[in-house]
Amino acid sequence: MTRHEVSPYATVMDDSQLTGRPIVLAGAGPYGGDVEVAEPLVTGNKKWADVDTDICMPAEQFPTKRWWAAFSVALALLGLLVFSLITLFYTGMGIAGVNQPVSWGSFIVNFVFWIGIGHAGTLISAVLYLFRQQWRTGINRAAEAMTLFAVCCAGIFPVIHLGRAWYAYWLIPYPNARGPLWVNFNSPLAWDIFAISTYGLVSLTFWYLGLLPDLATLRDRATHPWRKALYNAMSFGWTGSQRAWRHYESAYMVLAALATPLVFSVHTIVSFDFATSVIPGWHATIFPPYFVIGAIFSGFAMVITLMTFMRGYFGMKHYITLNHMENMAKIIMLTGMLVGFAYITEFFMAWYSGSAWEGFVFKNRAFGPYGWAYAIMFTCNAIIPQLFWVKALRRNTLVLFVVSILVNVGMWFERFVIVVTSLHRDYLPSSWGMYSLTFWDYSILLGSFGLFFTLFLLFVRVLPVVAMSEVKGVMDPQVARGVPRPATNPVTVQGV
Amino acid sequence: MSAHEPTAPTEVRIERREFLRLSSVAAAAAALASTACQMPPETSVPFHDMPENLVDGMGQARYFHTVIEGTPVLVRTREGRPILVAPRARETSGRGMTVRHQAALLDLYDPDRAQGPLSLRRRPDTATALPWNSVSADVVSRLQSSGAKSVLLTGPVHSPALASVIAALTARSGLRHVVWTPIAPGATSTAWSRAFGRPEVARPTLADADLIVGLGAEFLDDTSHGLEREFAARRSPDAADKRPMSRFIQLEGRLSLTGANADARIRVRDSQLASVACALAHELVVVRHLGPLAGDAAAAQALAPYAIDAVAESTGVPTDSLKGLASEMARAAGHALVIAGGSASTTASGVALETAALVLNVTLGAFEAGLFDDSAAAVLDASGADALAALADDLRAGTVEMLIVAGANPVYDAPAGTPFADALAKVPFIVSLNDRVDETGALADVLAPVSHPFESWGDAELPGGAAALQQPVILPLGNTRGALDLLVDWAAALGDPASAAAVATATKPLPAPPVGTAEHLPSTSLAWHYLRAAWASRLGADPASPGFDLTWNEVLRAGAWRPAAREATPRAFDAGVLALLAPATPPAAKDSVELQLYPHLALADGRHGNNGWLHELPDPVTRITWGGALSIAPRRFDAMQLTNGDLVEVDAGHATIVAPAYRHAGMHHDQVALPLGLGRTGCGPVGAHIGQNVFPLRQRANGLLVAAGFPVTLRRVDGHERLAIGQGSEVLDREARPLVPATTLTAFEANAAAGTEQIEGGPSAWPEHQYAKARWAMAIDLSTCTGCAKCVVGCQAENNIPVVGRHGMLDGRPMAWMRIDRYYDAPEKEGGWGAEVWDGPLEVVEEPHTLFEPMLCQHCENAPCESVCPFSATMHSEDGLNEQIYNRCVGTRYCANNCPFKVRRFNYWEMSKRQDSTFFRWLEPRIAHNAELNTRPPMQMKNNPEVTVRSRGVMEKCSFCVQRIRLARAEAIRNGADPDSLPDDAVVPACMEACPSQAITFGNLHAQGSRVAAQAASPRAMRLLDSVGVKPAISYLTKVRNDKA
Repeated sequence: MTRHEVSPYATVMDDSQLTGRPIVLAGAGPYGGDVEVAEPLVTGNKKWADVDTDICMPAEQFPTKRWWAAFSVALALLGLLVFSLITLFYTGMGIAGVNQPVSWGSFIVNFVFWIGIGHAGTLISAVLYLFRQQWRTGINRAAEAMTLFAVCCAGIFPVIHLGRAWYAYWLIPYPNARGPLWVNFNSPLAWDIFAISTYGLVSLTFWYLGLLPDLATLRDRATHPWRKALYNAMSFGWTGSQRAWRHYESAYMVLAALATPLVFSVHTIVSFDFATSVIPGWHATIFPPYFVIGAIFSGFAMVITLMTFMRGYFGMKHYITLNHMENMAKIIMLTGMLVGFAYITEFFMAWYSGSAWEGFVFKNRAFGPYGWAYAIMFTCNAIIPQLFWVKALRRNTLVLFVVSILVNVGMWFERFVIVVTSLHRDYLPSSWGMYSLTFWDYSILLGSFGLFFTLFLLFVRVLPVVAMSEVKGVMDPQVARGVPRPATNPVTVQGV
Repeated sequence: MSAHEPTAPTEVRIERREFLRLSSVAAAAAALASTACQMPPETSVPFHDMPENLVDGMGQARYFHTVIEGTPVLVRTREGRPILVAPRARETSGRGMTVRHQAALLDLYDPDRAQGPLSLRRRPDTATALPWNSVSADVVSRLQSSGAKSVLLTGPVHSPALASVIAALTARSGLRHVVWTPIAPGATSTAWSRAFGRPEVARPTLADADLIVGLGAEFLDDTSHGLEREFAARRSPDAADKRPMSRFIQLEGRLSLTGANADARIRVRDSQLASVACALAHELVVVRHLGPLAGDAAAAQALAPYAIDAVAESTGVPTDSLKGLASEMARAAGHALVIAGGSASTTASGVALETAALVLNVTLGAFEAGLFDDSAAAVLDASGADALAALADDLRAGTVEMLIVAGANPVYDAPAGTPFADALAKVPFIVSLNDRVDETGALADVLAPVSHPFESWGDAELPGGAAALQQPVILPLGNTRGALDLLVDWAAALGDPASAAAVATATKPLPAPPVGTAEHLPSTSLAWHYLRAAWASRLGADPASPGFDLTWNEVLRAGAWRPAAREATPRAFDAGVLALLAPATPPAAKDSVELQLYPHLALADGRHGNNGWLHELPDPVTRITWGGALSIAPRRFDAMQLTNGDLVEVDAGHATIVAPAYRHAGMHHDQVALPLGLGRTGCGPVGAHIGQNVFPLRQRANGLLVAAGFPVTLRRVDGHERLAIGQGSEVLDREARPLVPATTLTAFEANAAAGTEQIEGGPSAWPEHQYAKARWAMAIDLSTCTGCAKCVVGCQAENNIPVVGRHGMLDGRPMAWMRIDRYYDAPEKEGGWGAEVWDGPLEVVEEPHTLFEPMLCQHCENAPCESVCPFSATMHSEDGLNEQIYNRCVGTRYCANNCPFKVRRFNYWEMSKRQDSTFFRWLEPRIAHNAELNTRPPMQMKNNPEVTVRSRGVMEKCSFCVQRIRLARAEAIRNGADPDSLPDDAVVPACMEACPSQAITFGNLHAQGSRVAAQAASPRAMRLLDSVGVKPAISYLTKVRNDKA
């Protein structure tokens, strides 16, 4: 294919023309052979100018009724969260379902759940960046935003689950007048503080760095002087010069390299909360990889859920194509199998270790009073993603959406199974008990989704949801420049 | 203002700082003086072995001897407030402290007690306050005008002084005195009176018996006779005195706490126990020709229908068990003791059962062998059921003008056929002397509340002719008067000379004390003067003589007075008693179900119904708190397809009751049981409507109350009531979970370490702790622990542990630092039990071997809780304590999760102060319930000032009573002794103090020759969870079951 010929990408107008397979350009090779090229990452014959218009539009127009509808639901749930937290702080932990053997309940489950959700963003933005996976450009901005908001949601739970949340700042080691009261660095909970705050800060920096060129685009398009000034300040006076781009690119690369280990460290350390204890079912060396894989698994599921909304609700189908969705489905399938492998390994180790305590806990997990939770977990996480062996199902947005929701349900239950079933029956049978969620546990769980979606909808409303500058970089320049299409097509395009 | 108030000299210039100092002292003194937290002005004298050079007030507690409900106890006070009730460990008075006496402390501070006399006019909701003068004047004038038509209805009277005042009242006014004891061992007295011609029942000396056979015995359930210590003395296989372990065999229908402690148990229905006992007697007397009755034709005739085979046939008890038991008894003759039982004696054939027990004891030579101590013989309380019924008839007939009710509550606890509430309507004037408007008080005209025993003077008669003084340890908290004060006042008004003399001396101004002597406060207590006069004659002294004060004080210090040892008159067995052997009713048909009504272990007759500690104390056997349940045998329970808490209707013919069902291990298949003492309505909001009142199911027959052995039909009804059971699984497979060291005597003799086998653990990565000075440790002998749970109440009182209420238990949030785990030991099984053992398989729970294990913080050397707390709120002290620092605790609850023993307790609610927001109290009613249970004044006054009251959101747990350790160290330092090598008894934690069987030993593990070190080194010792490597500081000594028949 030479420069002067018309790009095959120009003819791909929407998802229906995507196959998920390479485009074969028959006879386009230098010696007359076929050439395979990847399908375009942006459909609809978009010009560079169209990208700006399409993606900046939500930020530049009055919000749509759809947005208001979604936002009011999210805000109502956020209100429920605020009310529940006021009640919680006034009355005490008594209103939650936690009790004597099960001293950690839904709050810790939610914490691990949200931290897991927050994993996909950095994986997409940093790891896939380093591996030059260009399809990441369509989804990385939203995924990173999702990460930040998920970390926000996760961050509230360790605080609100405290008996005396108003002293949570004692966990920060700084010279103080309280003795000085210092942190016990033996405790994994102290490690959590560092792991999560580092992750949150690096994710925020990385996300914001990526936003700079796009904020400048918004500034350049702005007509209102206040708006212009605001976006100018937010873009730190981005000029778009060659020098700026060069520095930007190297900074982005360095940050990506820095953020990559964090993807693995955060959930590793969260898993230490359990793995360093003496409780059978928690005390396991498999926990770090198991938690990291689970986090990627659930994070990608949440990305699929959100991208489905972005495609359907906010009209981003040309930038987040079916191919993007299929790629994520493949990751779900892979990580789902890894998670399933971890489940089976745990059982094997419980038997192989010969520890009676361990053996009982796993028997009890699968067949005890919380067997239903284990069944939900295993079905949703290890079995249902197997659907994605079928390409047609990987490319069916309804199936994708339903599976992504089920995976998230399954991953919530995975954390429930780990936290609750290990605690409710441990060493002394006299102390065994049951745990159930109360109204307030449910309201705070729901409310955390309110917080998440409120933040996400605000993000959708005021910031570019797709990384414009990066997408422009992966578009076919010929199509993006708007070179007119000739009357006849010199090559036969197969498979379109 | 009192005379103690410091005043500044007027002429002296006072600096500002000095002025502030003085005024703060004055304010503090005024605050102390103006509250009720004072010693009563009559000199009450503390326990005689007080530490010397004691400074009252700061830093030291005082122990006082006093008496409650006829039982001598010690009361610990701090700054004038009673804060703990402890047993008198150093003597056996023939009366034992029960959990009710321990918990009586909470009753003292019960906000629901009446604060002064009330005019009720049978409408408690419109009650108005009355002055005491008018109450007394009213009663006295009625006694004067219509004394012969007045009735005084009381509970059992254990006080000789009170009895003499009542006698004076009846003599002066013609007042009729009726005594009603709701739960009384009536059949025992009847049998003993007939057999020996006198009503005193001798005290069994369990420590001297090699074989104890219980026929429904409940001496470990009802500990008011204080037999646990002697029982426990022979339960250890390696006791210090080298005496061999005794063997205890129990025959009973319901697995009681006593039965749970038996080495062997034979299930016999209550109504058939008498026949079974007779069968044993037949075997021993007629077949084996044992004992003085061997050749007696009358005996042979009386026992003739009870050949073992016939009885085994009719009762379904295996012949082999009975024959084996009989031959074991025969072998142990001269060293064997038979005790018949509590609830089992309340069947219609209860007298026959008690008589058979006497026949067996006579046959086995228990009396000759001195296994019954006649010097501690006591007359047991009679129920007075007939007198109560006669009184009810009189009330209905309208012949009673005035009824005075004191310490009785017949509207609540009268048996079937004695409808008291209706009868009361016919009485023109009713005065209640109870401490609150209870069920009977609600129908009274006047409530004249008497003081708590800890607030008033009195005395008590003890077994063997001894007596003790009841000295007040605090001034009355409300406008109440002591029972004795009140009756002396009335008797004086009626002209009783002794009472009048007390009134005269009480009101006579005292001469000024000689210069330089202690201030002599005038006493206004009539009871004090009356008692002194009464005791002067007992002690043979003149109350007016100066020397009498010394004698009197000595009695107060010693706690009791004993007469010179008397020659015990030998008992002559009257064989005519054999006539009582015939059961009153024919044995029940084989397939019928019979009901047993047993006294609730903590609440007994329900008089302490408003006591949160008692409701929250798990029943040692069923583990049920806050209520009771219908106990059903496991097989029947499964056949009825019930789950715990499903409602079942019990139809006894004359009454029906609906109660939640409970699968009671070890229950006889044809028997069900319900606890008495619940279902109060008029006790106050803490205990009202908890459980079912089953007193109306009892019947009256031949002067006795029948509370067991009557046929009932069961019917499942719709509905479910969650049982507040404070325990998870019942069954322990020690093969898989070696959590309780237990073995049999045979195995122990082969290998002293039998039963302590553990799962091996790996090496530890932690460096060993170096305990340079002391290491505190505990040893608990599971062989002597009876599971009585007094340690639990003692701990609750000492450590200011709040009451979480029924909702708290249902939510799974108990606060008790100490609990008694109860397991049924799963026998060894080929291939192991697997997971299904937790469901309580029939082969385990039908004939259960019960294991009790007191569980508290193990103060692990490698404590898993310490490493996971991010705030360093739980730390290891240099003397081996696992310390919880409340101020630092932020409440991550990680420590509780990581505790393998699950002994850490979290404050889910604010229990120590009221949360007042109306909105949130409406939103979350549990806040209001918690306040009702814990924070209504004056409830906080019960708190031990040495222990922090925890707030919401912090973790807490057993501290090994660190306050007592630190106090002992401080005292050693003051005395110039080495605080790191305290002697063995210098530190006694509250649980050890309360333990009647001395199963708990506490001390310094590193001290040379300390008891705890010796116990920890015993081959019987096991420290739990070796495989986890936590290295607990508590050693459990094996529970040895004597299997050597």
